[in-house]
Amino acid sequence: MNYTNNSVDMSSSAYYTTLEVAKMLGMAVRSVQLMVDRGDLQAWKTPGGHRRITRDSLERWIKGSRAGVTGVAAMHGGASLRPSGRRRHTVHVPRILLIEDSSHFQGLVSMLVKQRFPAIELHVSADAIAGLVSFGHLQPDLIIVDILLPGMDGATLITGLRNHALFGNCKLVVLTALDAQQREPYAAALDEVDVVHKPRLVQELPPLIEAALGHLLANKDAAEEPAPAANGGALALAPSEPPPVKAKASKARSSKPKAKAAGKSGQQPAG
Amino acid sequence: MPRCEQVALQSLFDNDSDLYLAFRDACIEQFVHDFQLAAALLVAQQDRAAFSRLAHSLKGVLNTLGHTEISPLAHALQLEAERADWPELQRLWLELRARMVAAFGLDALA
Repeated sequence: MNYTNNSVDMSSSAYYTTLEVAKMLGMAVRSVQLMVDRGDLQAWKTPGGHRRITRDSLERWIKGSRAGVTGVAAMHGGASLRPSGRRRHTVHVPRILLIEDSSHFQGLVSMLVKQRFPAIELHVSADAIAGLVSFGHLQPDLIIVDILLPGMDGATLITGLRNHALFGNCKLVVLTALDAQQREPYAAALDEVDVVHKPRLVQELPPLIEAALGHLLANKDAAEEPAPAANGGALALAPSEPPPVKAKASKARSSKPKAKAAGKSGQQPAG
Repeated sequence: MPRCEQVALQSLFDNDSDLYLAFRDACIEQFVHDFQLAAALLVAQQDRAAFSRLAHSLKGVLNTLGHTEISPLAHALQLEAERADWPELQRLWLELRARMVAAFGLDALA
């Protein structure tokens, strides 16, 4: 256990209940209790045995855990903790969580996202358990999951994700090296899920990302349009506008309709 | 560039040679770690699941890079990892490893 002594600041602004922290991080109350017991968070107990978690330790954990799960992504520049402890976003940065144990394909997805969707944050978890935890506190807009992972089979993971209280509008794409026949044992879990066969990742994943997050990219572009001075300060925390997609990359795909290319560099953003 | 890689570049990477070559270079770097992991797993002779995942990963990578003439060896190794004895796994691994070394010019690793 990791409980503080009685010298801590016990004013209500300095600590949270377990339920409050669970809501902030998008986790189950029990998960937060375990984090306290593991020493990830510092807390004290009321006479009735309820945990009170220090704000300082929560902020430290959020900073540390976000750095720990981030692959190629920059930190989420537009987010900060309000005194209430809730995150405040000036501009919603579309987020993808990739749960993939193969370093090779972590790298390929990272390259692809960086090249074609530079405005998107990509976070990477290398196993199913870490992925579920990351899902809770990152609350991604799209989750890309490999089927064969250490720690949990893919069907169980996908079912767990879909049943997650925060799954909501999150989109799901499954990434696999299994062919159609090898996927049969996972048929129920893969029902109505977009599946990308790994060798075709470069061709098939970008359109799915565009379909899932295109509206968020359009909104972000609109929010980052040069604006009157009145809201310039509000955008100051947002990541800088990414460079346009390389002409070479666009040229290679010119034979296909690519909403991404149009949405990022050629058209007025919607909204 | 070998013919099989040219085919992959065209058919799987939409002729995006920058992306293909960047991926190929990253894979070659990672193969060093894969070879080390396989050697450690074969010495320990305990974690069949990890060995199977490694072979599965290599199968996908080899297919993506266009080396479909080698990927069946990785697939066979993935299947055998669940049941074969360790000397047999060692034999299959060395065969796969030799083909990868030849295909990607990994002589320094051999």
